[in-house]
Amino acid sequence: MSADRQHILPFQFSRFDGDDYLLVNESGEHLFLGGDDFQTFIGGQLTSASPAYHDLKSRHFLNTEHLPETLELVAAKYRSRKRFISNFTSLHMMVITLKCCNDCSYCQVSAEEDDAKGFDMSPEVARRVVDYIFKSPSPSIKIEFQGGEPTLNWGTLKEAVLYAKQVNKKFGKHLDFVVCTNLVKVTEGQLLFFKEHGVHVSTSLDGPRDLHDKNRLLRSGGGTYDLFVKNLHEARRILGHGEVNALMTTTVDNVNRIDEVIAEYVRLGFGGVFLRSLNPYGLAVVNAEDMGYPVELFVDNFEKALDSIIQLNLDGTRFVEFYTNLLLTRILTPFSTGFVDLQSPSGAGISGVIYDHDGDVFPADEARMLARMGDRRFCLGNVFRDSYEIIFGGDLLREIVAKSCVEVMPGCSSCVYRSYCGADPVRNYSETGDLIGRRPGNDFCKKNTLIFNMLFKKLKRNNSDEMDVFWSWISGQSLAEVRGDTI
Amino acid sequence: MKAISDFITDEGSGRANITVNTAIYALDAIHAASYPFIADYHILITPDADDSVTVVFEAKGEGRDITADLKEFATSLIDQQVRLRLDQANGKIRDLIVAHAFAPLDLQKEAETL
Repeated sequence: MSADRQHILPFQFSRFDGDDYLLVNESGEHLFLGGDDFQTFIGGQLTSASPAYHDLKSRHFLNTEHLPETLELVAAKYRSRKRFISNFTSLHMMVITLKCCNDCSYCQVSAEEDDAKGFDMSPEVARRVVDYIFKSPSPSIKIEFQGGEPTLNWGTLKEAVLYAKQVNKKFGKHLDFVVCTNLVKVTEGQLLFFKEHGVHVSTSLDGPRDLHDKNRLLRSGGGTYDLFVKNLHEARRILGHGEVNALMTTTVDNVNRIDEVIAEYVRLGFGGVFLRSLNPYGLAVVNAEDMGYPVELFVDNFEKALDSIIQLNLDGTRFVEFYTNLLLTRILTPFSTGFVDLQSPSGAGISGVIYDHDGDVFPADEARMLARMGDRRFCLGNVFRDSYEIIFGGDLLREIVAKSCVEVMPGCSSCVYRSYCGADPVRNYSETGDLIGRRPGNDFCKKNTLIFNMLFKKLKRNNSDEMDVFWSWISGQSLAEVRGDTI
Repeated sequence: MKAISDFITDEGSGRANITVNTAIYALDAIHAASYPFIADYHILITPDADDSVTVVFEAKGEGRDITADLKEFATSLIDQQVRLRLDQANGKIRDLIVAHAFAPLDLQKEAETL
């Protein structure tokens, strides 16, 4: 059988798992090929007699006819994956105060004493920030209140919510609110306000009591676990069970006990966990020697935890590992997934932005943290001094975007995972002094590469139980629905 | 029969070099294959008199198997050369896909130029 007129369409590849190859193309489709098939394919000699020929054609690695129509399809998928660019900034984080009642040892923001002066956002600044937020062309706006502990500056938080709702009467955007709170000092009145205005709660839980209390401490002394659990139940009673989500931070204390963290999340009725490694900012840098761990150890334990979670689902408890869900959604569907920390170009500024308590604007919380440490390289401007156009269309944000496209970054451009990955220019800068940074030896790259390797091994293995659990997460269906077990 | 080690000169103390023929491997492929090693090595690519370059590896620390790393470099060279060849063949298609995704083109007309 002779070979047709073949166009090999663009793709990235890597040797994978022995002699096989993993191929990923511009639309995010992936395929595993044996070494012989790969050589025949790239030599343009693959014929329709080979099963690989049909896989390659159907997933747009190979084209033999109607090239313009094929390119139309691939471009449409590419456009879908990059949809976050056209929406522009939708996540707007407001630092309501830098004060905090906690003194967590890994605090990324280096919070101030809970009675400190000069670290609160004033209502005037909050209203000005809200005015800027609604200049974003995004049809969907999420305002996230951060701190410190944002509930400690209650008057401004309340004013920001009420003013944003008032302004939105003119714009009619889809408007969401999230408050990031440690729940330690939250009151019934505050929770009732959240209920009335649809403010979701995002909180922090590092595991069972001893793990949580190891790093999440009260300034006045002692752990926060008991207060956290008491107020978690209160928040759920008022807001509804699903309106409170939690994040964990992995430190040297819990990196080898992630199974206990998961058990605690399940015990407290959370529907999933985001297994999150420590970020190199704030006190996490200062305390790195005491709190840090090798990336390889994190990913090794991440895989063990993922296997436990999969088994938990198979045993009847629906529980999602959110980072895996995010990556699998990118790998197995053509949809855009909003996650500012792993986008190309980076989501810094164009997907998410943070307004400091004094109205300074930064493309990411980590950039604001650098400024707190004395380096204002990433300050985009101030809502009182600079126009929206200067802040969001100025040279700095354009530089961040131009220098965070993995498609053209050294080491990333030929990486097989680049269709699913992203760049962190702020982290690159903090580590190397350069926004593009260096991938070899870089923990961000190492962590994501190891996690992608682990997930693709699972996809290659194609175990039906694992795949059913994964599809139940991606589709939002129950495991029984995915398996067709429901009537 | 030649072995890869015939092209590697191990000078000891974490220093070694490998000679690469530039008639077979493009400089871009040599650079790209070197890049993943910069975390562990200082690397210099320097021209020889003939159609070849010498890639000098000097370990930044102890504990590296430099011969094994240079063999991995040789394998990576082949992959990078394949990537370059594919990019020469279909790089324009990649550009068309990206351009059309954000600002629709006349793909019928563009495809005729491929």
